[in-house]
Amino acid sequence: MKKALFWTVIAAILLFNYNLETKVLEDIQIITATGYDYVDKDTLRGTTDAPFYPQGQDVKPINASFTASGHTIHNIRQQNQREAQRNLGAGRLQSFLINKEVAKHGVKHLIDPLGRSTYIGRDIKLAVVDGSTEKLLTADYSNSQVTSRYLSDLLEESISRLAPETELHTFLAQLDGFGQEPFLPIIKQRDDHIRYMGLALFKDDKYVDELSVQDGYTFKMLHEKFKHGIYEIKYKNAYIAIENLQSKVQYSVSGTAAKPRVTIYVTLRGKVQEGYGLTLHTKAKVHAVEKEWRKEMTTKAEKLIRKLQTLRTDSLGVGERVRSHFRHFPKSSWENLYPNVPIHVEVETNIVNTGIIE
Amino acid sequence: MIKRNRPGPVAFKRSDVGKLISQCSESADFMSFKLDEDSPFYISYFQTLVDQNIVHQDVLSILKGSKFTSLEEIKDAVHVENIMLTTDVSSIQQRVMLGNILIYKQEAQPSCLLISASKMEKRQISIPETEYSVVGPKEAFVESLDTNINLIRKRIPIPDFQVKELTVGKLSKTRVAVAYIKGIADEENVNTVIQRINDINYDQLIDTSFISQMIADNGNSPFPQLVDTERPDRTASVLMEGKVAILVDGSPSALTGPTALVEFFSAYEDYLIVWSLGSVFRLIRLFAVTFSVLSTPLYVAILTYHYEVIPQDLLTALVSSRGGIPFPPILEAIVLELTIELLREAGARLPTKVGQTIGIVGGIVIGTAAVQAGLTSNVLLIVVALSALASFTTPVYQVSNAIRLIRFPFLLFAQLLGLLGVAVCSAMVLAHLFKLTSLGRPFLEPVYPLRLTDMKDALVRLPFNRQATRPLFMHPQNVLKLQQHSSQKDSKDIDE
Repeated sequence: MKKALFWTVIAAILLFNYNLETKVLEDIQIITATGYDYVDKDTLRGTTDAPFYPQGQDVKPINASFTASGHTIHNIRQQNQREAQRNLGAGRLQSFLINKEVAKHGVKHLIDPLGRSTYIGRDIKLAVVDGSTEKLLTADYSNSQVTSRYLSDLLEESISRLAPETELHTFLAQLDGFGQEPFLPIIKQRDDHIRYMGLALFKDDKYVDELSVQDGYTFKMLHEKFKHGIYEIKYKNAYIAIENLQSKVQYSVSGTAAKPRVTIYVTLRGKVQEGYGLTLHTKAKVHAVEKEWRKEMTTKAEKLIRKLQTLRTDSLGVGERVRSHFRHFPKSSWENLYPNVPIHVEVETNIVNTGIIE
Repeated sequence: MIKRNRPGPVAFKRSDVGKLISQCSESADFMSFKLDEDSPFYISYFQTLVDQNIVHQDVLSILKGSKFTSLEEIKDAVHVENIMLTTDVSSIQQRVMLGNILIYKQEAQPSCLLISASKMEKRQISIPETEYSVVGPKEAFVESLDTNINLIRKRIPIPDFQVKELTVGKLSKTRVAVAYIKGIADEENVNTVIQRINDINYDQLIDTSFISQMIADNGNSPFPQLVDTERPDRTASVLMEGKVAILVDGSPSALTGPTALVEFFSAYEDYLIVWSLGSVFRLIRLFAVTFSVLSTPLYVAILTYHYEVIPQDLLTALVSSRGGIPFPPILEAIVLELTIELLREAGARLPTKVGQTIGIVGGIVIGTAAVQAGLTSNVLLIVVALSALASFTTPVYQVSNAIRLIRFPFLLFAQLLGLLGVAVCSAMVLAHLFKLTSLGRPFLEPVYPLRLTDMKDALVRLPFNRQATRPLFMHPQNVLKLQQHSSQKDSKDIDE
């Protein structure tokens, strides 16, 4: 009897107290990309890409975008809802674009709702747009049916091979963490394509400067281990393209808490892909190329680090490494310390293959 | 259902033999006649139960050949295996009903002679139908208890293999055999089984599945708590592990217990192929069952509540297949699941040839037509068909029925609470399984309670040299499977 009563109560609670809002897949217009442009200090102009799937079998999604102005992201979304035929759902958001002008004024208030939301994945890609995000998101591109799909593929598949990996999770960690500054890829609409333009450097949450595509690649080499891309070096009036087979990086901190010294050890393994007019059939000749490669990478890396130090932006996260090396490291001193910390780069290069003709 | 009033022992009187005869005479197949005019003996038997050869060659020819005056003389003269002289009317009745020839004197003589001449129709031993395996023995149990015990005994030719016989069923008087190996099987298990079978109070017992339901620890659970097998090799094998087997006359299967859930996923074939392959196949079966239970509920939960978890590349396929379908995912899923159940029921009831046609009609025609008519999405059709297929991978047929059933509460919870509902329902099923016992032994052993030594033959099957001990789960009296190497040699080597 007691048992029956228990189950009746459970069933009653389930049935009568039941007011979960269903989000049936085909009744949701799924937002896949959003971008924000600068209007004035308090106002943003937000564009939302939410492809529409017409009814029927084997149908192709149709580009659909909505633009509205507002102070907060959610207000803008509500404004967008005024035009959308179905309930807009942000759960599958993949690309989040920030106009350069917005980035210069600070992105904290834009990123905050992303961090709070439980619906949004931590792996969505952020990017800074050189130009209007509205134009970029509403344009038609010849190489893709759906704009947002092109954008997310570009950010996930292409740019992640050229630029250091960033996603919402790392951006939030860099924004809040000590001794590290966020960075994002810059993209630009160019004719009927979207193009990767380099790396945007942030100081706190504000855009300060950018790195070229080449420097962005060097930055990636100093930031993480990876294995794709090409290093191009000049050797004896010829250009050599070396495929990156493996690139490892290791930070070593020495000195004292007041005078830390940082050495970055980079190990590169490569394979010569192009080198017209070069014969590399002896070890000595390969060593010579390796040496040239080492020299060039060291110069590039050190120049990049000087630039970062001059900008006083610690995008490589050196501060965090120094802090974790010394016990009770005085955090407040790092701001002034950073521009003058000696950071050396030690590159070790190794060419394992020069192709099948030699 | 079980009738509570137990009949008391009936007091038979001598005159009841006459009553018995007259009662039986009402049946057309009962023969009762005087041997000849001057003979004092009467002969009675059921024509349909006796072997005519024995009646004519071994009994009537001898009786007619010489003059007998007493039943003792006949008993000495007839050379048939089982002859009994008795006055006990209840045993007379019982044996007549089993095909004995009754010989008695009309006069007040109380004793009767019973000559066994029973003819039992039985099927030839055939190959296993539901537990077929490509390699290994191809014998299956038949409906005769003696044949079945014979099939087991020839695999365990030791005196320790013992069979206790009970009679169950007020009307059916079914012979039930409890088989075990003394010295290995736990006495407690044997006693539990015998006691529970003795406690059965019902008028008929047609098959082992009756016993399986009547002596189950939890009769309301959809999960069977005794393994029902039609393979004598499997039965013999588990007997040697220390289990108890129950065989019923008239049933082509044996029940073995105590059992655990993992045993329902082990096919006997697992032992006939290399251990690595056997283990992989067993894991595939486990995966298949999980898939079968969870795939449709997950489809409903995700499409109703959690579009966020659908990968980008699948999204287009799902949206375009769902687009234009007039039902919410739950209705779509329930309708399709019911269609599959319909096909299954129809296929099972129809003769084999027609059943196949129904399968094709249902699978191809209805499925494709439903998708083209825009009633279901083709993604769900694949999911439901696959999960139906996966539920058939269990080697023990009863479990696949349980899997069929528990899918529906999962669907309901998926609709009510989404993924949380699936989790809640899983928790409830798990709690039920944790509580379940088989002959008083935990059903989820060796996972819970965790017994690492029994893991060697649970989710995976390790090679035979790792299977040195019998499962602790059954509390075997003799744990070691491998024989201890004796330190002394029995005989000298040639070169010694």
